[in-house]
Amino acid sequence: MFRKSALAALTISGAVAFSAAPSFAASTFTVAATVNTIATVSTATSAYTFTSNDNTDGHLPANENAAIPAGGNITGFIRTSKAGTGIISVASPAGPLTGSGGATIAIASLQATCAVGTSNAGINAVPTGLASQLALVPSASVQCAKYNQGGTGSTLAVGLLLSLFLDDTSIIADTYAALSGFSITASAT
Amino acid sequence: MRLAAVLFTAAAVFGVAQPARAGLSLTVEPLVQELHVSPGSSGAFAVKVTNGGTEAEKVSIEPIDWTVTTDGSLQFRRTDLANAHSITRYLSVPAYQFVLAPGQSREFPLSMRLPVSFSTVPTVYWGGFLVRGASVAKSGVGPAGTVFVYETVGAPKAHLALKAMRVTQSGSSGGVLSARLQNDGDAYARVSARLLIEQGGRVIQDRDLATPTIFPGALRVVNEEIKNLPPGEYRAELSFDYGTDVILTGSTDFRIH
Repeated sequence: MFRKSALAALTISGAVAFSAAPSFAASTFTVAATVNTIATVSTATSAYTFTSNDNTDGHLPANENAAIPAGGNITGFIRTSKAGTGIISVASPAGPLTGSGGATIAIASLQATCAVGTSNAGINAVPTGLASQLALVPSASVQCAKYNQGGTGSTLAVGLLLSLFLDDTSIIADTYAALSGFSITASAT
Repeated sequence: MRLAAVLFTAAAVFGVAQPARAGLSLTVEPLVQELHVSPGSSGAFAVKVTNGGTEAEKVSIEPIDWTVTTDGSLQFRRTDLANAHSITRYLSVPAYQFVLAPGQSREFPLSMRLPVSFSTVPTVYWGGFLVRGASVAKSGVGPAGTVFVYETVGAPKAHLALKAMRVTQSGSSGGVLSARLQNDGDAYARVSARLLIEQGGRVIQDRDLATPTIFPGALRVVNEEIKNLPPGEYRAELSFDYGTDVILTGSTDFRIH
């Protein structure tokens, strides 16, 4: 047995009778709807690269941070239930990044910052809990932003600017290969 | 002596650079499902995944456990077998990897089978899957969605308590509301929270607050910035509707100097 996460059922009963009419049978009907929680995530930045020329920057910006579209490089929509919260997270692989010379960069050396893009639209499309240079966690997620009761009244359009940073203060010189397994994730609770 | 201008050069690349408008997009439905499966029984629901992008995507489905921290942040991670409230080990899907062409969808059942020995003590369990899309052609950051599953056994008691509430001034025309909630019941609380700011009996600010699910035994600290308050006396009223017959309310008076 299970019940749907978001089941909106509206029952309309109507009995209409006109005095001039001879006899109308009372007519009744019901209307029901099942409305699921749903989200779409589109990513406009699929690669973040870093070039470090010193070892003093705890928050070295990724090269791509400067070219994020104003609307956001994370777009899409979320529809939650009435008491639900829509959340955008950054999920990371176990890592680490591995250099050709054998050095490594731990996932926790990377940080995420999320800001509001111009693509945010719809009811409750005001993200809160925005990440600010929040260290990523290996094999886990960190929260980028959350939306209260997403999609109440209309679909909530997401527009977030995700910037990544690297703490280069304790990293060994090397050329580190691309690491896959990062994702921009939509959730509802 | 000249210090090396380049102490190190690191090119840490998450993926191969793509054009500004990447073609990766993924839709997941539903994001949340509530189940009431008896021990020894099973339940299932349909999950639909759509590739709305312009290139083929490899979809992978990974079991995860998730929680909400005291400050209301969501965190999910690989299955935590030590989590006594996790039901992820009992969840399954027919295929954990498949490829979707642009515009293509796939619908599949997500099933849960509980062993006969599963506890019948009224309480809640939770778990889920991370559904991740990645470019078939290139590595890089991909879109994803989670499917969170709640399982309720029996009729656990739902109760939420407001432990503390105060507003402290922040700057010259605002404050920060801090409230501490505790779920002292056995059910999870999905909360609709509302904050009213009143002055002289008149509501001058009214807003909904985002506070994700509060699990049994968990504390939740709500911090909310209140702006645009000229000097004066105010009252903050908080209400929490968590699906029972009772709406939890609290209020506190404060002054902006």
